[in-house]
Amino acid sequence: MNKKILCTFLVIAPIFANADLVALDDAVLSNATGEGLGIVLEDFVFNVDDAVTTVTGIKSSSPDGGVTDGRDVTVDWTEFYVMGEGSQNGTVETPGQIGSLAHPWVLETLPGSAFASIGDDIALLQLRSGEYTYALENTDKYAKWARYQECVYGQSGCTNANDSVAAIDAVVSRLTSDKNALEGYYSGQMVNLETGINSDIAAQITPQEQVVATQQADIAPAYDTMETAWTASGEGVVLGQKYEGSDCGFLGIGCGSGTAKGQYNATVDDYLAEVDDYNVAERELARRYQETLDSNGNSLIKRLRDYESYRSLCGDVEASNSCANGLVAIREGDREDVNSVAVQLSAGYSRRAGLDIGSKFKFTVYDEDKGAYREDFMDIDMKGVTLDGSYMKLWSRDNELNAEIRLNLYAKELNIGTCGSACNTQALQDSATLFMDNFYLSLSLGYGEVQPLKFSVTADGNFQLELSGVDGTNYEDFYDNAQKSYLYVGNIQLGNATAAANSLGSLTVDGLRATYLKVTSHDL
Amino acid sequence: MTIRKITALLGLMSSVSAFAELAPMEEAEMESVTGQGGVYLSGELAFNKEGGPLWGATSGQFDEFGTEKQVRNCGTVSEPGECGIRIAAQLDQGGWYVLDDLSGGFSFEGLTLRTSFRETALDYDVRDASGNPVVEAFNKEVVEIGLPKTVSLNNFKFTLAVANSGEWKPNGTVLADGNTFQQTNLFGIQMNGDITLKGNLLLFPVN
Repeated sequence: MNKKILCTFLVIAPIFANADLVALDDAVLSNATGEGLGIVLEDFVFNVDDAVTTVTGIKSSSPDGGVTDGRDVTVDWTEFYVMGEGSQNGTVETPGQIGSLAHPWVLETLPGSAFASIGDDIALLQLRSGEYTYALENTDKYAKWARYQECVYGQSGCTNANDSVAAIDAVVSRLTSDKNALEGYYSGQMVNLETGINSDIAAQITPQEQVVATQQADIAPAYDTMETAWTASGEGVVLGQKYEGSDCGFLGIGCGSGTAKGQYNATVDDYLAEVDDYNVAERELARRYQETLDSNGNSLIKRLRDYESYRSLCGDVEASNSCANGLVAIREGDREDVNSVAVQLSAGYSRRAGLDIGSKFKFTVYDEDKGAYREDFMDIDMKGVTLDGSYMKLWSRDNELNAEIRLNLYAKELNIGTCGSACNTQALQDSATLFMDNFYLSLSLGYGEVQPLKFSVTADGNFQLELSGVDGTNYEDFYDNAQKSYLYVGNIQLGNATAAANSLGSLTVDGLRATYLKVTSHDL
Repeated sequence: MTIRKITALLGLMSSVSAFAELAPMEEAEMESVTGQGGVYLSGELAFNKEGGPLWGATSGQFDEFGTEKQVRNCGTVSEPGECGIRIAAQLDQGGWYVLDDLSGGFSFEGLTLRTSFRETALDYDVRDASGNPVVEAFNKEVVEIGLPKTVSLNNFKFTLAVANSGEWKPNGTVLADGNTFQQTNLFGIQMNGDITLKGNLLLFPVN
């Protein structure tokens, strides 16, 4: 067996140049605390050039001549590069910097006590990207600025960094005026608004909702009774219609009270009466929403709408109307960051160069309609990518691998083309390309041990990814502290990048959090 | 097992040496040498080029003890191919993560390993009067790995998979726990040709 194992090993025979080993003195030793390993890639260029890479094991869903397996989809990965910004889609070899000596990527082991959401009894492994506090260099702040700026700074027509400040000022001022209008309407008595609504709901709405529920519950039994009687009557009419006229024979004797048809007709009346009662109760509930007025004549439904708007603008309702936790405060905070970046850019300061990352794939797929293979292309190019503020924490609990991941990815431009060699001119290529400017994805998966991200392999050999654990005991911690995910795209454009008519506008997905997620692979 | 067999089974490995002329050094020159020579690596690695001892691509192949190898074909029906190395790890009590069918070769020249003393670093968080990042004292010894510029790949391939057994079994094999052996291949990668890999990887302790 040992021999068998040996055979799978390989031998490396490097040439060594033996350097002198020098003993470290106390001063040097005391500096080395071993808390983390800094990692920097200087002048980095990665490019597969002419190498041919094939991705295998991907199958299409089209049946393979009666065999259940799908046909193989051949994926040729013809282009993959990571280099410095300005590489012109990977064609000009430009050295890129991943981390720097003062802001390295760091691989470190930390005690669980370093994080409130992780138990003190375990240690964890963390890999984090460089961190920057200067607004212009901080990807999260810069991306916020870029989202309001919409265009890519420095490109034609995009030279005034304060455009984004004006844009966010407009947002803040609209939100503030909405908030002021609400406070003015209720004379600043927002707490009274809340208590008034609560007491009206308790006195008027809750009792009537119970009536509605009772009436609604009566309908189903009445329907069942009617249906049984209908079957007994021989189903001579459509269910819900009564036997009338000729159905009941001479002088209506066939529908007399003792007959099956007569009994069915009575259950139809009962059923309709129950439905009617329910409708009356619902109308009364609606009337109460409309006609329960406060001392100034405001209906309950209007007050509820205003209250919900105020809650989203200000977070909590309190006597001082501090409005500290809502949308107004969040956007005012954003405005600070946006303004800091705009001031630095306006002063002529520049941001460090990012990375250019790109890949090109050719898919050879069987097209059932044509009965032949066809080729699909996908060409992804990202320009000016920065990743600072990202991290991955890994730890083990009960023999399971747990993780928490945050990925901050900002790209000045993200272009996805779908045309291959057939598009041999720039205009043709542009026509089949999706252009996204100022793309920012901040993806947070997992929150400590409250909601760890778990990777596992099931007993039947399938890959499983799970995000769970939020329950009645920890939901407050989760909603107060767990990181949210964001996706901003300043401008989305389909086809020719210079034609304004092709712009689809901007995209914002703000503050997304998954309470539960489970992904399992299945072998087809 | 003969030496010949071992070499046939083993991946081939050859290192490239550059023999320069040796000349004696002057005393003054010697004094300026600080022992930071570093290591220059060149190499070619090949995995399982001729197939391993456990599996044969076609039936009727024997290992060195005369036992018939299990049939495991990593090629196609018409063109059977030997399978590469299988490395499996179990990170929890469930199934296994598998790096399967790792085979082929790659070669590189000029991977350097040395330490260098960096006196300064650019601090992007602090700006001088004209808005440029300031140069701060760094004064640390860093490990500097110089990437080899070009890496040549020769039919280098691997498959990432998850499975319910570390060892590979033929289809339909029932495992000790009663489950049938199941492996889900996530994807496979096959590479041929030269790739560019340039730059310096710096490693140093941080507080």
